Amino acid sequence: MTTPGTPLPAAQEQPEHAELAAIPAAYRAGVATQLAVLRAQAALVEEFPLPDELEPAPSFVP
Amino acid sequence: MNPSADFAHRIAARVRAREVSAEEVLSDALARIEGRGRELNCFTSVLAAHAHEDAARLDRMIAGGFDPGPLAGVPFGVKDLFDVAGVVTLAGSKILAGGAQARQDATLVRRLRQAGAVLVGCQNMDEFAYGFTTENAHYGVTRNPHDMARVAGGSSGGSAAAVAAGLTPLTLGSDTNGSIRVPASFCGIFGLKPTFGRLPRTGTFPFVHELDHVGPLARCVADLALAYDLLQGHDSGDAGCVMRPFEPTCPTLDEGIAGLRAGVLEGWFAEGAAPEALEAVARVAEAFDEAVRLTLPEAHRARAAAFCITCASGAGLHRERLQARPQDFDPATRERFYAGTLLPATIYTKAQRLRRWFARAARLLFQRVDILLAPATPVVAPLIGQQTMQVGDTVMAVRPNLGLYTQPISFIGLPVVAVPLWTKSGLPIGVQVIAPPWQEARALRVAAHLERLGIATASRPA
Repeated sequence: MTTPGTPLPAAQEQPEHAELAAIPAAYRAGVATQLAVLRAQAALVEEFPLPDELEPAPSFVP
Repeated sequence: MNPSADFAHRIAARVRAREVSAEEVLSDALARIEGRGRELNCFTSVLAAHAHEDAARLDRMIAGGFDPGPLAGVPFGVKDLFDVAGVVTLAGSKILAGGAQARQDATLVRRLRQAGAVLVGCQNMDEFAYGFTTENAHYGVTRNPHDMARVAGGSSGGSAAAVAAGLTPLTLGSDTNGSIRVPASFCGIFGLKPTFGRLPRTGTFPFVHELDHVGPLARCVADLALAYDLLQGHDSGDAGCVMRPFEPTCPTLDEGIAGLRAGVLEGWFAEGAAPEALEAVARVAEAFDEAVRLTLPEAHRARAAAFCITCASGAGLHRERLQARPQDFDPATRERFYAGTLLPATIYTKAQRLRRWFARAARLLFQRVDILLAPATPVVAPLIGQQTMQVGDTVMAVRPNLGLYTQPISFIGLPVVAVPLWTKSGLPIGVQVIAPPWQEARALRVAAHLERLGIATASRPA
């Protein structure tokens, strides 16, 4: 449970080395570069306020 | 002109009138593919025996008094993510090369063949469709027919280059973030990305289910519309394919654009674009009686959201392959997919919510105008191997950023015709003619008008 008033850590602030541990060592440098690009794009999405009632766009039609 | 280098509708008319046989057209196409096609590296497989059988069957039908259909004897190719019966679908990868042959044709391949078209082969692309240049680590780079030192664009690069070079008048491609529109822009041809959910993707290898579209490429609008009309129709094999009535576009192609209001997108769609890209949009806008400047708000965030969804969803699709055979990926693809595995689900969900918000913003613009205009690419085709490009004041990596202006539009599934214009340098550049959802006929009507005016034209086969 989160203590009221305590900000949640932003996804892009998680320690990089922990995430990259799952990636084969030989590829980590290249993945880190791509991850930085992806995080910059993710920040643009994350910081934009959206109304709570807005649902995700559908990707499945039953 | 060589018989196969003509427009599709004219080839079909000549074959149906018995002025030329399907076999003669095919032999000419195969000779061009063997020569110019090899130089350009358009094809990953050429299905000569298969095609000869089809052509011979068509000629027998015609000799017997039967009409084989509106694409009689028209050679066509498909991006190598469309299933073709008896062929392994590579999707530009090495990993899939050892897989099983497809048991049946993709739905769109079958529909073109049923209309009399002759499939000649499968075409080069970026690995798993993740790229805009068709610089494929496994199957080589596809060269631009207008300048062999430049890329053809991607990821439907082989398909676009083949059309521009007159190897086949018609091809099928896919477009998740711009993969029909970007190569159409660089190769100087017309490309249609229909509304999301319009054409079935059944039998195609997916990239991002949430964003994948399929559509035709051609050297004239009449061919694009003819093919599109033949491709329409629901298919229950694709859960994303929407049940819509048949809405033909050919009958309205000649209606002109009188009364249509155009909106020239500025902001994100103008910032950083090379002068020739903006000039091309201005030339198209001049064709309209009324053209106003508009901003599609938060387009940069829409592009960012499409970027995140692509990376995360693509990574999810390939996660097991990444674990089992990482060394067999193209390094550029592998690194982006790995990065995608690390994107939090909260970002993915927010990006999908932003998609709905952005679609509403676009709908508001269509209350003011009938058509939106934007560059298809910020620059003309980059050089092969070029790593960076100047976009405004920013130096950007080429490979992920050629779709800056296409990504926000496919993100919300709007139908677009990419139309080719020509710069002073002699290289082509495309303009996106964007219509409201399900209004492909309107976008094609505008494209046809621009073609009649000589504003947007594909070159003769290069």
